[in-house]
Amino acid sequence: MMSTTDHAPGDDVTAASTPPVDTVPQPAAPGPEHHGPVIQVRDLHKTYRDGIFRRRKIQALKGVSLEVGRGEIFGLLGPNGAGKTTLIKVLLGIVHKTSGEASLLGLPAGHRAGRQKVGYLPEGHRIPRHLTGNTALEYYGSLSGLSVGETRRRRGELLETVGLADWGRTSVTKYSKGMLQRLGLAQAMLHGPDVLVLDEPTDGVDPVGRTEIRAVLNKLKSQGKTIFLNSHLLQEIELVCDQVAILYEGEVLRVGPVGEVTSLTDADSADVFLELEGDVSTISGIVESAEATGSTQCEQVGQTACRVTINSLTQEGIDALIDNLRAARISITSISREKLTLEEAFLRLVKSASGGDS
Amino acid sequence: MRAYLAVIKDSFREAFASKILWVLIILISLFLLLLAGLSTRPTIQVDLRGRDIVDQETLAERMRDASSDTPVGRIRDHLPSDLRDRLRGFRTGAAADPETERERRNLFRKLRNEIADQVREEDFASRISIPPESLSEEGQALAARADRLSGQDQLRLNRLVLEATLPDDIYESTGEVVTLTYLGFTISDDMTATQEELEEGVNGLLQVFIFFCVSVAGTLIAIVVTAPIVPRMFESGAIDLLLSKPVARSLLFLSKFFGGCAFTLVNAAFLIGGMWLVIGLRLGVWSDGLLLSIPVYLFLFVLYYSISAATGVVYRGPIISVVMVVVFWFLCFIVGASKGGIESIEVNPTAVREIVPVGDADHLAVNKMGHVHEWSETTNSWERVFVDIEYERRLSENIPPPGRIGLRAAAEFPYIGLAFDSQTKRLIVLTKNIPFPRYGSGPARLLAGRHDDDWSRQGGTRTTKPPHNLMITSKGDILSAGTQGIERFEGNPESTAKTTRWLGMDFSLGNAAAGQFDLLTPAEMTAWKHPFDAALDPSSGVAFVFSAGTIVRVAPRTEDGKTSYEPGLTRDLETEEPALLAVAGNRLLVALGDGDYRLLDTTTLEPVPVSLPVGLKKPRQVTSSPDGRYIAVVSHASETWLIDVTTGTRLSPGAISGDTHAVAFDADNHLLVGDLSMRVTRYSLPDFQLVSRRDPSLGTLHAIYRYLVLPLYTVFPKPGELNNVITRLFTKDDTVTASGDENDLQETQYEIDIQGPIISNAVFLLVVLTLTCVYISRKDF
Repeated sequence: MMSTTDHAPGDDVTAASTPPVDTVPQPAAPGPEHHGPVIQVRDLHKTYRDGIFRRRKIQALKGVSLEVGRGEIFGLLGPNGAGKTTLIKVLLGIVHKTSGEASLLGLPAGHRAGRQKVGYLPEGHRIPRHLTGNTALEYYGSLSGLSVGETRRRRGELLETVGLADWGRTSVTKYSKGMLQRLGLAQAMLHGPDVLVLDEPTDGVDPVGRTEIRAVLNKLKSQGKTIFLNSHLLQEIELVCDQVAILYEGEVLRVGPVGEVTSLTDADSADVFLELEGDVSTISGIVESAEATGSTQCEQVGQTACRVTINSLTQEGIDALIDNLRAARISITSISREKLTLEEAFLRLVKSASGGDS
Repeated sequence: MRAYLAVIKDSFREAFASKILWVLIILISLFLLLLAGLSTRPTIQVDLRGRDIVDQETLAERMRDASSDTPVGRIRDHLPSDLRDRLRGFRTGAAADPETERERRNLFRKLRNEIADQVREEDFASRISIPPESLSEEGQALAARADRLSGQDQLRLNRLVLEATLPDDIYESTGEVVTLTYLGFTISDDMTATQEELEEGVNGLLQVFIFFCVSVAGTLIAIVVTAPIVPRMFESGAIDLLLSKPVARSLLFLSKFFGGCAFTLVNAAFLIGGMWLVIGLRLGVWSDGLLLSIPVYLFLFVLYYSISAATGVVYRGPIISVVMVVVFWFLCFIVGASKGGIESIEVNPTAVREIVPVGDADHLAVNKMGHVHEWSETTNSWERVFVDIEYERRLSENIPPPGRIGLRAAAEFPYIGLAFDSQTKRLIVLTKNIPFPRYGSGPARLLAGRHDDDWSRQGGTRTTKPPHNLMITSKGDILSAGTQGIERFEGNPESTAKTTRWLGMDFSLGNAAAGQFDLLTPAEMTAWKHPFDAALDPSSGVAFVFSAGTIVRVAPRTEDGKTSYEPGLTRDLETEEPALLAVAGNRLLVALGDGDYRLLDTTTLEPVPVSLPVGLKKPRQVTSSPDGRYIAVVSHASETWLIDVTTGTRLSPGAISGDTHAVAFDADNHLLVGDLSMRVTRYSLPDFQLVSRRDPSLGTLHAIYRYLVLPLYTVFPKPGELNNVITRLFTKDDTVTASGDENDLQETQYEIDIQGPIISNAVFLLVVLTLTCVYISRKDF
């Protein structure tokens, strides 16, 4: 399972194998079933105060609202300082909210019973340097309520799952960054939580490792686990997440299924592509008369065919254009709207929110 | 619970990952191995050591006066001729000048060495030739096979012969002593001790070791080793992972904290427990004080570590944690040192040590420096009287102010006794001859002063024997009592004797016209022993003497117009404690140093039932009322209470509180109570109603002490005082004597308070941990 980029000296790369994702531990202590959203946040505010005498206020969250359903993989996106980690910390009770509502598994954020069913991998986590892979899992397992015997029973399979099967007895001081990330993921999964909150889980992990982690996440999803993912790697989010939320300066810019966010339903900013057959001059006349706010391009591709690109036309404008074309007996052989990647959608939204060109 | 145990376990893992710890463990192991080389070898006591001699002066006197046909004379005649000559010129009593005093001490040392040399001579026993029946059982057994004794047995017999020859001068030896060896080699032939002395010595050394090596160095090392434990837990990336687990924040912190403490406990137990085992097995000294010092040390560490941990939580750095511990230690030291310093130079020296009722309604107050004060209604303050003008002049001329401050702190109460002779209206004072009596004792001087002469200091006649008590009969006879007998002053106490002064000491040049002290007890009487005290029934003139656990009734007898005192009825109280005596009516109170108070009938010396609670403190002063009904007691814990001798019950006045230092009764049987602030309050009895109070305004330093330093000290933790607990564990004594003479109950003794520092430090610990837990629970990580 180790990639060539994140293995430590002495690592036997050939020993790596595809993670047996079906060995991910099941919940050790099932609690009362919760049927509503696993995570529910409404108008959540968090203001940090800095300094002793002249206390400076920093608003990290400004009325965030979102919901995460059971079995979903939810991706939280946002530039640095957007408030992603603060939101996660509020949900886990590591940071106290200023106002609003936040619940996890139907319990108030930070409730101990809620934390019992959550596995958390913080960004830039530090596993004490005096521990080995095995003792680290024993330590965190005990903190999660597992007996040492239970942890020992589970850890072998788990370390194999994250590709550290041969590293259990090695001091974490000898681990690479990617290996520490894998160990962090293992400790998050150790007690079989219902919800996994992963803050930059692939940080420092090589592409092969990322693929493996994605496989683990998908398997967890197939087991009905809910995963709350925070990552800068948008392609990754796009690949695994069902829903995403884009957070900017403490506010949610957009939340919804990945396809919805990437399709950019805001037609003002979308391009429309048409392929038409008919009299070219008629086509040109109709297209030019359309109420486009941006540029309109009409490219003749044959005697009676044109490819037209219309920028920033309202839905009413498109409807009127199509009506005019059909009234003039022009055939519409193809019509499509521009499709963005998640990264493009994210950048556009962030630029738009920061007042830049979209 | 499992989660918190895991945190504690992790603290151990973390500490064991520290290289300093392993170095420490190796060093402790090496130290224990080195210690294991020590051992003892039993041997027979032969040598004559200084502490084996009861009284050097008496020994010299006896050697001088012995006739040549006695065993003592035979020892004397075998001495070198120059020493014999010096013995011949030897005179008892303190020397008139330091040079002669030095010679006297030199003589004592030489005499001891020469006698010790004689004991080592093979023919000593046969040469001295004492009757076998005067030998101890062991000596008789050895003497029975005198012709076939080994060398060691012969030396032992010699030693027993010496003890039998000088039974009043040489303490009996136990026979078997041990000598210290290392890896089987004798360290020094001179280093012999009985097992009891060895235990005492080892315990003394262990006490020093625990203080310096464990309490100071050990705490510092433990703090450095454990300082990173808490900050690392609270580092970003570590704490958020921990806080995401289903654990309580406060308990998480406390588990980590106690993990560090448990780790230190293991190490302390390894060092101290190892020492206890090695010393017990190798030297036969099983010091329970050593074992008990483990929890005390741990408590001391926990106190400092709470500061380290709290700082670690807030600043998340081990270096600043250690720095804060050092700052905390320094603050505690400053507060403690300020309190101790002001007490030494201002509060204690000026505290009332004696109240002397003069006349019907007046009294003088004497502080610990020996300054006598009379109350001035005009200025509403105490004004010094009875001043030694010459001494004060020399002091101001020769000693710079800083030196005078030092003298204040070191000053000892110079008076043996102060009393007012109501017949002659004179203040009678028996004073020690040198300003620092702890460095020697000897005859005292009699001084007197009158109110109508502005209490100017007069007189100066020296006693012939070193006195311990001043007593005045109802007829106005001035008596001094000491181990060598009771003397009476004949003459005018105000007549000035011719004296010369050297280094602040008075040396009498002799002046018969001033009067003299005459010995009233038989000259051939066996000297009484320390611990000693005496009291007088003023009406009958009968004296009572406490001599090393025995009460002696010494009644006056007049024959041919000459009064003498004859020791009569005795009662062994079966105690080794020192005592203070007071006579009221037909009752004698014996207040023992262990807090045991016994009431005896003055005629029969039979115990009289008295209802007293258990756990009373060591007495500092006892005094009786003129009507013979009450005896007042002030303990070293500054508690004041009375015994009504007519009923045998105890009266504990709730109205009297604070730092009572002295009590007295005036002529109207009112109780006078003096305290730390030179305040003297008069109470009526038995209802303890306040009659009057002399309350002088405080000096600046005293006010700073009372209103700033003392409150600060009260609320501040007192980690340094935990060392007192260790002292208590090793000495098993609840007080420390300033002069080192534990038999002098009137001397300043500091009670070793165990509860105080433990409670104050525990409260501080609780506050620090609670505040830290509150901080953690409110903090966003």
